[in-house]
Amino acid sequence: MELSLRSVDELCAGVDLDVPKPTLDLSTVSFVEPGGLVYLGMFLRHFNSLGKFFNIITPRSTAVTRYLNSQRFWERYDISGASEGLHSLPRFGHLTSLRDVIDIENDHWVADSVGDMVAKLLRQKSVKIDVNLVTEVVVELVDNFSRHSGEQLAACAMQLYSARAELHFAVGDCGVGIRGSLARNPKYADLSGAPHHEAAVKALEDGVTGSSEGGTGFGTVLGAVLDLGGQMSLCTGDGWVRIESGRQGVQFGTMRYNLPGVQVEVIMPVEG
Amino acid sequence: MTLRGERIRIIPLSHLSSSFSTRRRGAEAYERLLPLLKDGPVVLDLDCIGVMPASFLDALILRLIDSGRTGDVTFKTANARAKEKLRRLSGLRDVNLFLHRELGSPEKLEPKSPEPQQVQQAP
Repeated sequence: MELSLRSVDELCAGVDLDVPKPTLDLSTVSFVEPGGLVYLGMFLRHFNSLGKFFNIITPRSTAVTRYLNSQRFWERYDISGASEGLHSLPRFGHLTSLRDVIDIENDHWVADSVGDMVAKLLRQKSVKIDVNLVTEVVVELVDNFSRHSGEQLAACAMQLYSARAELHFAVGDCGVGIRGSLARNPKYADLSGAPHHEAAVKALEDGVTGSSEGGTGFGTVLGAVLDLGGQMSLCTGDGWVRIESGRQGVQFGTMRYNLPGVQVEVIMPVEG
Repeated sequence: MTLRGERIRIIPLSHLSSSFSTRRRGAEAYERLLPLLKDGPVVLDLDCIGVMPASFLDALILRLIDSGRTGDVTFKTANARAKEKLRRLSGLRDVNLFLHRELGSPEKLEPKSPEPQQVQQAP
């Protein structure tokens, strides 16, 4: 299976979490996209915070194993419960490189830094895309997650697929999620009982925020992604929403797994 | 010169911040702008800024609204995207924003109201 944001919830939903040490079976994973990688990472991070650990059946594909190793994926999570506690896990906080998953701390510079790295990489590789617009998307998303980042770090990942002519950027956390965040604002308190996808649709509206200030980030990202001819998918809890260039409106649906937090993927076409 | 004979001070946004990426930077840019407003209205030049998400501008504009200083700042830009962001924020925050023109009075930007989204369940 290709592990993407559209398929990873099926993998997570298939894990028997009722046993003391569940098994996460990655044996059939043949390809990993940033959306799938970030979601899976947040799934592991969420259960780490609950003191739950896993038996992992590693991918049969050596390419996938090599990719996950190159992203230093396994080092971030206490998969088996062998570490001395979450505090002892390496925090790849202050920026490694876009070759890795980048953990997002709550600091003033992380959005600038990730934005600079993305812009530099795209220019170095002469990628035919509006680099400024892509950077705005990345900066808005990373800053949004950074400001909400707490005990459990958010993370982002990026891949350029030359053959597909696509640029993927994914960012996610396992925090309170959109519904929980918006419901903190008395104006949206009613959302606390609404389906997750309804809160997600609401969050896409300009001016909507759970904080005292904000509500322009998702609108900026949406506008930019549509201008670029791309698509944005957002998962929160058991809900998802998607906006695609060339398709009217917002689509929504139900995830097969209910993961706390928010996970976002933007896919943008690049010229061949 | 303005029509009232005031000298126009054009301040590049780059004088207020080294980065224009985030809401926090927008708040910092406002703090640097505030002392400059003591000497009268300014024109804030947004051109030559490549990456400037709306959140940065929103933070700056919200603080101008809170301090009652929106009338003291006119924006200068030839960039269509920057103008769209200003129009969007004008509509969202229900505030009049003005664009500097070389000749004549500043142009009031037409506010852009958010369009309602069509929502549909995926098959």
